[in-house]
Parts: sequence; structure tokens; C-alpha cells
Amino acid sequence: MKNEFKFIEKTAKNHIKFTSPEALCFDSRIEIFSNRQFTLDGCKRVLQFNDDYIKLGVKGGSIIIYGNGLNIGGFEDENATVKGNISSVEFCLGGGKTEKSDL
Amino acid sequence: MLIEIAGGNIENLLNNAAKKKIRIYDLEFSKERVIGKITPKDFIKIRTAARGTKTRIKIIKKEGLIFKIKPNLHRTGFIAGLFLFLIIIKALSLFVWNIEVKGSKTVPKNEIIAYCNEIGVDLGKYRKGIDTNKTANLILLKFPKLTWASVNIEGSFVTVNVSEADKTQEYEVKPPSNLIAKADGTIDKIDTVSGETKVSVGDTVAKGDILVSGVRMLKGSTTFIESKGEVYANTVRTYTETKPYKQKVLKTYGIRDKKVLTFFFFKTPLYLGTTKGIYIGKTKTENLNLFGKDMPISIITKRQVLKKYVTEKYSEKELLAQIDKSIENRIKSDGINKYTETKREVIKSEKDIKIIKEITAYENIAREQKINIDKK
Repeated sequence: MKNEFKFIEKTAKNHIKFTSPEALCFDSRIEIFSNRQFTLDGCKRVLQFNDDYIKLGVKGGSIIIYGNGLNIGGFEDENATVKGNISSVEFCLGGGKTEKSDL
Repeated sequence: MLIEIAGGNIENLLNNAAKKKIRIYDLEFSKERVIGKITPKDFIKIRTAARGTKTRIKIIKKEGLIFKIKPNLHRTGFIAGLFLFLIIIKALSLFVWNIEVKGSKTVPKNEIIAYCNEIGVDLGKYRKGIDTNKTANLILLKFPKLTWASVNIEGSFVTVNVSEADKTQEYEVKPPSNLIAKADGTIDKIDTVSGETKVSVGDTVAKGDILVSGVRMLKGSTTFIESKGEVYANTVRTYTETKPYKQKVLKTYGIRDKKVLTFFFFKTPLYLGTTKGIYIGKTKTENLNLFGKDMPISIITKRQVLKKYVTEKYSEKELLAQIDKSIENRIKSDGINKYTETKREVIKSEKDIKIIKEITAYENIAREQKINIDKK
């Protein structure tokens, strides 16, 4: 069953949301320290990076981190660290491609 | 370094950089551009990651030693001078910069250092050519008062560590001697400790007479001993002194300090001209001291007290006082503290004054005279 990728409005804050009721089989590991630091092990690529959210691509889906003052502390060896005031985290099946063309 | 990435596909650049193991960190998104930090080494490689992403990378701030060194690389004179300085310091460090003596009490340090200079341990000598064990042994042989010596070379500094024996009562074989009279007189009191007394109380003796003999004849054999004792007598002494009215006197008319800068064995005078005439010189050396060690850089100050002969004419009163003082000094140097003046004769002429002074004193006239034994 194909899960549609749904983009949730940023008004849904302070919670972790799954857009699909099915169990997600992401090949990744997440560490969250309070709402200040989000570490993702297994990050394949940065899909989107802007003022409001950071979208990271993992195997099998993507993870969107919402908040303000977000910055990518580091991204190397499939390990990405996002710092700032995190308001919510969204797990999405699919959506592994960026809005712009990949190289 | 702080860089700014703008335009194109910034995410692709970040992904390419991650693949190529180019570390960009603390990335912040601001006004359609990303600001981040990168090391200079990775910055060189980021151009390859940016290919095809149509992004523009701009350096906002440069931080690090390499950015401080690089602008100065064209200053060849400075670099050459720095290099030359390091070579000179390295070359000079192969030689002795200073010699220090530690632990000596009665043996003067200057004498030990002077002896070290004689045997080849001197400022400016090649330090690896110094045999420390041999030097220590030579120092012990030269200075019998020292019981232990060691020579250590730490960097360019030579330290001579010594220790001396504690002063203990030593049995010393003393040479045989007589006691003779050092002046004419009549003996009043004899106090002999050792030796054979040859005079009695009331005897009149002349200067040079044997008062106590160190030669002892006993049962046909002769022994020689050290004579000790005191012989008090009433003595009569005559002192004569003549001084002219006009005298050439050495007077001070100025002081001049001359400084010499020394660096190892190079000496640079910091003065011009030479000093002519008579002067009394005193030298003082000040070493540059760094971290408690004397460096081979010093300033030697030679203080010259300039003197010249001046003819002075004295009045009669001044001349009489001078002569009296001179005679007084001679009496004291003869060891007489108390005396009675029995006669004072003043003879004046046009050119000079002569004083003849006769004194009587009660003094110890015994003086030690060594006996020379001719061993055949």
C-alpha cells in the first residue's frame, strides 16, 4: 500500500507526528536532547534547508524538523545534527527526493 | 573560516560535501543563503563539491594561523633574517655561554673559574669537547681544600659543583724557631711557653738578640722545637722623619667611566678616546641575567679616578702635623700602643723640617725567627 507523502503545516507544533499509520522501517537512529538538539544517524542527504524547517532524507523516507533558529551543526558520514528550538518532528514515508533536481 | 553559500542548489552542495568528507558545520539559514564554518583545508576542496550546484561561495571571515603567515610570505628579508637568527642561535648553543661555581666556601670562585679557563673550560669553547670527569679531577688536584668536585654541562652552561672539608683541628708539624728581640730594651718580664730561655729579668738586650732558643741539647743529642712565649721589656726607640715644604702630591681631578659591551669574546667599546696620565682603575662587570642564568652578554664598566701630581706648599704648622702623624703611624706599625715621649727635637731649615722623636715603651719584644736546618 502506497503511503502518500503529506506535508504538515508548521502550525502543528511541539509534537512528533507520523504521517502514516503503518510502522516505519527507517534504517536510522535518532537522538533528541530536550528540544534543542536532534541527531540523526543514517541521514542520506539534506533535502531542504530553510528558515522554518529542515528536511533530511533517510532510507525509506524523510524526517522534517520544524522550529526556529535551526542550524545544521554538522553533516558527515550519514550523521546529521540539527540544533535550535525544535517545535516538532515529522516522519514521512517516501519524499526522498528534493523539490529541486538531484545531481 | 566563515563562508556564505548562496544561490543554486544549496542542499546538493551540502550532500556532495558530505560524500567527499568535506566538513561544513554550524550551518545557519539566513535570507536565502547559508552561513557556515569550514576549515581552510576543506575550503580548498569545496570547489569540487560545488560543481554543478550553481552555488556561490564567499569567504566572510578568515581565521587561523595560515592566514596570518601567508600575507608575510613575500617578505623574503624578514624570513631570511628569521632563518639566519635561528641558525646563529643554534650555532652559538654549541659553545659555552657561562661557567658557574657552586658550593665553595673558602676557596674563591674566581680562582676556580680562572683555573678552569687555564685547562680549557672557558667561555666560547666548544662544549662537547669538554671532558667533565677529567676537569673535575684536575680541579681537585689543584685545590687541596676541596673534597669533592663535579662538572655538569646543562645546555650551554657549565656548572662546577664543589664541596670543602669542614675545618677541624689539624695536627701540624710546626717548623722550629727562636724568639729574638725586635728592639733594644731592658727585660722586665719573661713568660716562656716552649723553648730554652736565654735571658733573665733585668738583662739589657739589643735588637736581634736571642731571647728564647728553639735548639735543645739533651744527653748529647740536639733537637729543634718551636719557641713560644712573651718577653716584656722597657724599650727606647728613636724615630726620625724629614719632610720638605714643597711636596709633589697626587691629587684627584676627575672621574671617567668607560663601558665595554661584551658578547662571548667580542668586545665593543662604548666610548671614544684613551685616557692619558695617571689614574686608578676599578672594574665592574654586569651580566645579562635571564631566567636566573648569566648570559654571555655583559657590560664591563671601568671607573677611572684621574690623578695628577700637584706641587703643594705647606706651612710650618701643617708640615709639623704631617711629620708627627707619620711618626705616629710608624710607632703603631711597630706594635706599640702605649708609650711615653722622652725627647722631641725639631730641626728647621729653609727647605724642610726634621723631627727626631725618642719614646719609651713597655712592650713584648719577642719576635719569632725560623731556624734553618741544613740537612746533609
